[in-house]
Amino acid sequence: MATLQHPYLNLAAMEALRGVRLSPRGAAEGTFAGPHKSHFRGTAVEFADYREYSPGDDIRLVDWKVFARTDRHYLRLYDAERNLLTYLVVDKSGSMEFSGAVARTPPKLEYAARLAAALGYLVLREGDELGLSLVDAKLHQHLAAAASWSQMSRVLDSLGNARAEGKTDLGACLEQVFAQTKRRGVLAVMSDFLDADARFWKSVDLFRSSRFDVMLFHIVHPEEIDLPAVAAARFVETEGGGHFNAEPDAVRAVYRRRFDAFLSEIKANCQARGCDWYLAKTSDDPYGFLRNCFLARENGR
Amino acid sequence: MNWAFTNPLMLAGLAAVGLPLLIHWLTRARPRRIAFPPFKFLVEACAGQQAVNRLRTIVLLIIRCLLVAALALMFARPFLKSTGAAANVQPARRVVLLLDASLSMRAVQQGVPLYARAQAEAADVLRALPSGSEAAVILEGATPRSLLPALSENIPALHDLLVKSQPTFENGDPAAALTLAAKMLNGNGTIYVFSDFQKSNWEPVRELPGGLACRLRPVTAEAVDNVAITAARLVPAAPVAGEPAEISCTVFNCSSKPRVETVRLELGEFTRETRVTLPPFGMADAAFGVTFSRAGSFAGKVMLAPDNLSEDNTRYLAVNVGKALEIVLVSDADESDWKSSAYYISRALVPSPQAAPGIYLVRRRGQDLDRGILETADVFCLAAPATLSGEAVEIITRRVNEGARLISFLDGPTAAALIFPALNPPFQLQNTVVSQAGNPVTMSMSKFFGELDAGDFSALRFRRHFQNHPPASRAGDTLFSFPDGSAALTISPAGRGAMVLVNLPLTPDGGDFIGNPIFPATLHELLRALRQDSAESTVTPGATWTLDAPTAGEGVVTVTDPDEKNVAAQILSSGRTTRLALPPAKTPGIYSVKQADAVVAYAVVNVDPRESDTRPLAVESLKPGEKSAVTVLRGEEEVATGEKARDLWPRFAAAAAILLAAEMLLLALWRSAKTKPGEAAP
Repeated sequence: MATLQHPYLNLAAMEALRGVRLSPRGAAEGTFAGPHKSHFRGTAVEFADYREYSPGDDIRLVDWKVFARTDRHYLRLYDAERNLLTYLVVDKSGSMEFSGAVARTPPKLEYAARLAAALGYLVLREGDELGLSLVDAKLHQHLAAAASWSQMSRVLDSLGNARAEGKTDLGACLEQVFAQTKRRGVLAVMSDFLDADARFWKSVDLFRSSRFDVMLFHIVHPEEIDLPAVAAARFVETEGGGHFNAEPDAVRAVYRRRFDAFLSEIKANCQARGCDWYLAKTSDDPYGFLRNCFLARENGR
Repeated sequence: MNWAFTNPLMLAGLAAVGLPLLIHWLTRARPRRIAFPPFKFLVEACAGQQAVNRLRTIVLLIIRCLLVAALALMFARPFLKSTGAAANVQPARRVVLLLDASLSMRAVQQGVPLYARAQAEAADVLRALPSGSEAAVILEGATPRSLLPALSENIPALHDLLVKSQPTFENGDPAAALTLAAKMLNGNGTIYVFSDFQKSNWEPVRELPGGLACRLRPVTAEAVDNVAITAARLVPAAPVAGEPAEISCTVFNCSSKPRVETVRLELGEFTRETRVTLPPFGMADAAFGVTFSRAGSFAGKVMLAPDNLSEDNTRYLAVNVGKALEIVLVSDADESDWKSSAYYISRALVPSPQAAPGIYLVRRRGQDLDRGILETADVFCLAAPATLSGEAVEIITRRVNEGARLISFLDGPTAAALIFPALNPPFQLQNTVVSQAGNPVTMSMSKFFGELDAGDFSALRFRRHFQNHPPASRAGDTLFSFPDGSAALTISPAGRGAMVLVNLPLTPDGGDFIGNPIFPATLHELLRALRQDSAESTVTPGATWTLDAPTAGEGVVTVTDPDEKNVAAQILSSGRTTRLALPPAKTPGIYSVKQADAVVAYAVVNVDPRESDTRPLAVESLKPGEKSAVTVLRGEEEVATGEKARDLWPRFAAAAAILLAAEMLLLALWRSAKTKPGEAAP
């Protein structure tokens, strides 16, 4: 692992993420024992409950002290520390290609990929399981959750090969991802959420109803917030054929209000559903951004 | 009411109305293609805003176009004047329009010739005349000319003639034109005068015609800046081949600023340039030294760069270069008689052919004089001829008036007959004064001669002379005088030539003058002084003139004008020199006299220098005639009615100011609505 060098994940990124830990808000439900609390009862140290013995139970779990007092067989149940399941969903639609007209930054997809790689690294570093889905109008690539470092390589390869193209249907894609998830865990979605329609929120609700810890990483380019600094522009639809001539200086204020409303709407929907929403600007350092997000998450816990 | 414009050329500025559109199109921001993910938000938020922006651009462009139009109209100085319809209810009028058509009206001011301005305003007056009115148009030149012989009701025809009329190259004579106008109106009517009211032309007009209404319309309020060559001279006027000569010209600066001008000479083989510095409203001379290498007739010009009045920037010159100075010595004494004055005079003039290469001396006795000799001689020397025929006297008198020179040596019994009364001599001879001791002479005009002074004559004594008493008015003609006040040597202008009277004894018994080396020197100095005169040809356009040309044989003599068109010339006299009478020249320039298709002489016509002084007279200072009402129409006052026309330019100026303010206000307002990246929304 120490020799891992990838455009999306390298030693500098790992160094930046030292001390950062992804902690789920709910109990973990992984396959293997791990550092995270789980609702599965097991042989861990923290006592959870008693139940009557039934044939077939492990007699080592029988609480003999209780039997001595009550003459009845009860088993001691403990909360097992389970590993975490994390599903990364990265939007690779055409709109994620945007890298700015004047203030150039990495494309949004690249930024999302760096975030996903860093997040994946954090997950695997804790011995947790990591899954990845690349989506646009449909689910393109789905890596089932696994906890090995080879999974990291697969994730990086998938991210590296991703090309921003096509239209978006995030809602439909999340539904498909949900159908392929076996257990609850953490869902991290990296997208610009420009098509965050009712179906999308419905799919988010699906995850939430299954007690998923949902994190939405909202990737935006600064020029999407404030319009490019050009005198006149022919704005062209990225996922359609429309175009629109405008003088950015003249319409900036109005546009800015509309985009702020959009961000507020996303944020409000997230808050209403108990999801975490993080606004990531492509001009920011993705690793620093992630570190700040998780530190804030730890503090808010 | 009709619109009219003081500076209609400025209306060309209306063509610039499209300029804001052009500038907008050329400088518009070329939209950059940007694939923009949040496209739908942009469209939702800004669709209405775009329409507003487009509207703002259109409004700004309209304002700018209107601003340009308002400025163009403002500079065109529009004004409202009454229409002919209003005038038609007025009674019929009798009107004479007097247009100054002199040379100065060709001056261009603000891109418009003054004559065109006068023509347009006069045409306005004609159009505004009530029906039944009678009118005439007089063009004021050297001789006033009426477009129609009398007042006419045919206003359209008069209007056509007026519109087609052209200014002349002539000097104006406003007094004659006013007299003609008054005569045509016969005490009833109005004279409109459209003129630049040049001081040089109008100052002699003492009084405007009486009994008439005079409306004076100065077409310009100030002097048109002008530089002109007002004179050009050749010294000597008739040089001989190989003789150094000087062409000089006078340059006049009719402007309030000092100027430096380049004067260019183009004459025969010579092309020279020199620069002169001219004070405001002052003159300076430019001179060119020339030596003609051969005899013949030459024509050329001195000129300046064109200016507001280009016609007076060229002065034409015609030069006849002789082979030699032909001197006829008329004396009855034997050439070898060393006691005679002729002996000494001929030797003093031509000691040897090598000593005086430019002089061709012909000796004739009084009775041997023939017309041929007399007609070609440049200088006549009369040294006591016994007889001189009346015809010879007449020819000599005429030739001197035409430019030849005469030296009469008054020593001998026939001396009194050698003073021709027709040449207006400065004195008449009285009795002879004899003094054995001799009388000295004193020089009246110091340093008249280039190489002699009074000291050279102080030792000379003259034993006889004719007593005479030149009047005080001719004192300037006397070069030397005796102690008794008698003139010893005089030089006087005579017509276009000059005359020298030598009241000194020219035989050895009369004194030691002729034996002194000062004698030949004095004679040559006299010749030089006589030829200094260089009266310029003063033929100007509009005046009849005569022309002398050396002709030979029976070939037809023709004269062509500067445009190579034949001029109808009438032969007044013929012989070795043909004298031609020519009609008034229309244009200045070089006129060629040809015989058998060969040019035998040139003559030049130059504009009158008075026309170059464009400074106007204070029109108000013109004295009204008895029972005449004089109105001076200035500015945009309507000449047809004399009523004040309504100026519109202030309104356009106000409109331009309002449009400019509106544009700036809207720009400031709309610019503040724009937001730069990172700025807070207004």
